[in-house]
Amino acid sequence: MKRLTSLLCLAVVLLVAQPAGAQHMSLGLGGGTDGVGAELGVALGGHVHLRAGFGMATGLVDITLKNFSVPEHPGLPTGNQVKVPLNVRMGTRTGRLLFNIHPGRGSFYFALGAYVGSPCLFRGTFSELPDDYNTAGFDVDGYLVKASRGELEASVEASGLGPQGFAVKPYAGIGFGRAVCNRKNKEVSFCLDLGVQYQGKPGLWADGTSISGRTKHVQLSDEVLGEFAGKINEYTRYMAFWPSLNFHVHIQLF
Amino acid sequence: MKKWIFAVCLTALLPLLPACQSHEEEPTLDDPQYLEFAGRLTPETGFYTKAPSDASVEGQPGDIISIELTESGFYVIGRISDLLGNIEYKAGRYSISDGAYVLNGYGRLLFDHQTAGNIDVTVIPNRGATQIVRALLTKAKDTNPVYRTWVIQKTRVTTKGWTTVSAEFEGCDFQEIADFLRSNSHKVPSEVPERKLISLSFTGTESVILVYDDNSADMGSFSLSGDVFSYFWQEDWMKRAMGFTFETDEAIIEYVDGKCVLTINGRIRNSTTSGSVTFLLRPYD
Repeated sequence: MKRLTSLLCLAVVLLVAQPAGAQHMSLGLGGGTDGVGAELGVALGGHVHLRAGFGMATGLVDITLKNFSVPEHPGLPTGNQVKVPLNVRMGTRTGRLLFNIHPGRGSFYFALGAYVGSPCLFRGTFSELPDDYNTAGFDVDGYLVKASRGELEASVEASGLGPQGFAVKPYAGIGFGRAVCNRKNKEVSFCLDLGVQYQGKPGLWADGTSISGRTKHVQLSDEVLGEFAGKINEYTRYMAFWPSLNFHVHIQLF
Repeated sequence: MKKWIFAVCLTALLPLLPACQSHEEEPTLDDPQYLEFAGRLTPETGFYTKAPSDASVEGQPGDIISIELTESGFYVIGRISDLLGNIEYKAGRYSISDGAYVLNGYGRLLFDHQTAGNIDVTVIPNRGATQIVRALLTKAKDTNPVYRTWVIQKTRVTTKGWTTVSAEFEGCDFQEIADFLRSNSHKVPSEVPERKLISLSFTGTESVILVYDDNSADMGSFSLSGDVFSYFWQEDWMKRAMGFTFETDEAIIEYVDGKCVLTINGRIRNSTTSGSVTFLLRPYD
């Protein structure tokens, strides 16, 4: 909620603090790898457009892998394996502040900026886990991450250059279109963006509980995961740079 | 004007930045109910006078070697149980009535509880004749929030093997914990007793008392230095009581949300398993 409020404030700032030369503003709606979202566009002169918006992919993709293998006993990775369902959902919720730099008078542009907000990329929920998982799990500095009633939720998160819990991901890309029309009487335009965000190597996070009952969102580091770490790193090491492909239709507000 | 609005908006955003986590003050615990009545009686005449953790005692089976009266109203009577000098401890509740200690299931004791040293104790057992015995009364040298009885709420066991795994249990059931360790490929002694550890008492006379669900008890000694708790107990009774013991003799104590968290790090003796055991302890009173 706080992050949503901050993004709304950012939009307000954009509205009230636009440079004197910026006489046009547009509202963009669209979607892509960032999920669905909205943004405001402001022309800062003839070659630079500023875009601020929000995209959310939570709940858009929902896949269940029915036969995911886990050890029957969490302390014995090489022992008997059992098949359990793993439900994976996209979890990105980020704001973005991008500068479209048009080198010429055409529609091609370079985009530079950053994505900020939730570091969550995916959420996964194991279900039907064996009984031992309700008792045992991973200890992270006194916080125990374990299943409850056979269910264990974890998320893949990356903060980029941001502090823990709040992502700041630099973005660079190219695009085609215009966030704000430069022609009279034209009220609709579009932006097609292709770029990449730097988010660093993602980690696995989950909620842990201390023995006294306090809860904390903790990272399951390689040291904590032990034998499990190798399997996860096979995938996450390729995810330091996250590709983005988005399309927005912009409507001129004034 | 726009710059001013911009500055105001930025200022408005400041509260949204994550606040530094404030350190909570440690809650103060109320004094236990029987603080002034607590102490240890060590009968002198005809009985043995050595420390309760020392099993190589002189005396006859049935002799009382110590009566520990805790700050929270528990008593533990130590008796010589056989000709080898092994000691058996029995726990119960006591109360104060008309200046006498009423030990549930045992009888009454009359003595001046305010002065440490050698005193006369009138013993009025529920069965048997009244007698007066000479005993050494040891009182606490100082006060400490840990000197009380603590109920075991949770036990967390962390083991290091193929991977580090932690498990949390309600209370402390040795069988349940041993079953978990075995199923996760840890070596656990085959004879783990079917009993639960109910409470731990730390007394001002530096005795640590373990009370089980069958009202039996075990006792050791301890000393505190800061938050480091050093303990001593006989390995033979520890193995009998729990099925295993640790190579370490130190634990760490901390207080969280009005409760005590006691953590023992180390390796289980005669086992390849290392890790830690953490107890969440709730004040009994």
